Amino acid sequence: MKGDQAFDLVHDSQLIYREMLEAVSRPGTISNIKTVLTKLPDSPVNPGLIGMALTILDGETSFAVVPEFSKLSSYIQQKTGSRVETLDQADYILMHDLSLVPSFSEVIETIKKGTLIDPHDSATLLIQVKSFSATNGAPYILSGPGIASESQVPIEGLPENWEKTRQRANKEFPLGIDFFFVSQAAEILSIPRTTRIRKA
Amino acid sequence: MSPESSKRFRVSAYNFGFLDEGSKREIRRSTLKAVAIPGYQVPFASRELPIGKGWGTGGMQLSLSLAGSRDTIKVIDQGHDDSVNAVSIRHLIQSCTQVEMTRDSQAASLIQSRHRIPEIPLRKDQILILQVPQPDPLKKVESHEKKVKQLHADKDYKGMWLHLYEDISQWGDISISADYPSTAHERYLFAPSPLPRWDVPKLNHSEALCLLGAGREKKIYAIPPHTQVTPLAFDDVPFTTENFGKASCKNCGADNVYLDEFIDDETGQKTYSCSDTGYCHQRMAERRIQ
Ligand SMILES: [Zn+2]
Repeated sequence: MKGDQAFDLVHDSQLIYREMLEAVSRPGTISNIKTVLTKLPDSPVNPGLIGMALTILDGETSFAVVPEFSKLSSYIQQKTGSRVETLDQADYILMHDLSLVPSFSEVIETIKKGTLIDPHDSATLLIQVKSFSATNGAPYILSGPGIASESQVPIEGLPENWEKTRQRANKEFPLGIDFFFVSQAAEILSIPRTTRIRKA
Repeated sequence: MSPESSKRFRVSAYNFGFLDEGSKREIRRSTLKAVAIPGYQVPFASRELPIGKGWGTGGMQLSLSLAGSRDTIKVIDQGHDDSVNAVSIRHLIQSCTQVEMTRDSQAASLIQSRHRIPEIPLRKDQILILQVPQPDPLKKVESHEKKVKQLHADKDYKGMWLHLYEDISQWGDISISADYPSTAHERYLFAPSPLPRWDVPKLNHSEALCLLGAGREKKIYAIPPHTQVTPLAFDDVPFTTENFGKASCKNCGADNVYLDEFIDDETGQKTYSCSDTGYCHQRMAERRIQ
């Protein structure tokens, strides 16, 4: 029985990938990967963040953990074979606790945005936030590809003016950065570089 | 890490979906990037598959990296569910995933296709996977990969416009019947795959996500839902779709669908039938019930 509770690298990854794909295809839509919550009992941080990392990271990729947390870095390294890189070179940026990040905008400014020749060579952020709760979260209005007209999403736990920092990083499309947020309840929400955001 | 904790990982059904997990992860990473940059061709390390060249290894790799136990898959080739290609692809997907297969486009969660988009509009809970032989429209005007990438980087599509202009000068109209060059999100010029012009507008602000895979050229690109897709056209020579006049399908009576034309050997008369055979069969079945 215990085997069935374990994270399945084939089938659980497939399910998480499909939720991530749904999320990035329809920015602001809340998907969930709750199935991981009970399956990764030894996670050093929220299993939702780990679930996404296990789904897309491997020896072909690099990552950085912000703020530094060696237990998380070595867990990811051991489980996926992905290698730790400096912030300006890493393919994936894992942010497990935004309240401990001294300067969010400095992180965003440092990470890679791709080039006009290779816009895909840009960082993807996997960020732990509190919730997407309408009562506690700051509401944002999203528009752009994947959104019929506008969608309103509340995100709780992001730094003040984060959307302006993001906008600066994405001002030169196709250069830019793509976000995957995960809540404590293992819901996920994505905001790719094409999305326009304004505060509600 | 203790040995106990590593035991908590399980790797089941070795080679579920034929591809190894590393290949799937790479395709998945490329696909997520492709959706974030509509119409941009993300490179990937295309794998060999036990199907013939030109049988859509790009589309296959996308399908195999997407498929899971909750999916129902439809495979179409030039509108047909029963062509040799469609049957082989369906057989391979089924044998390595045990996923349910269907001919009914409305029952499918994943639709892998070559040359057609189903007539019944796709829904948001469906993903369209198109097989692509040549992912870059600019290869018609520039053969060097490096130069082509530079043209995309500079959004320099003058060569393509000139190509269209020359086409009009020569034929009085744009003669491109399939794979009509279009732009995504007002930025990247992309090849919609050899769809007839009829199907190109279906990509514009579609409800469904569309993923395109070119196996030989090792590229993945995407048209997200609700994304602007604009066929290149001049103000005085607008983009038009095929016009079938008053013709209708000889089997189900449908008009306002993409029709295949047949010429009767004996009488020389033209007859028409739906190119989307799944749609046609469904209409015939419905009429028999009534
Ligand atoms: Zn018909």
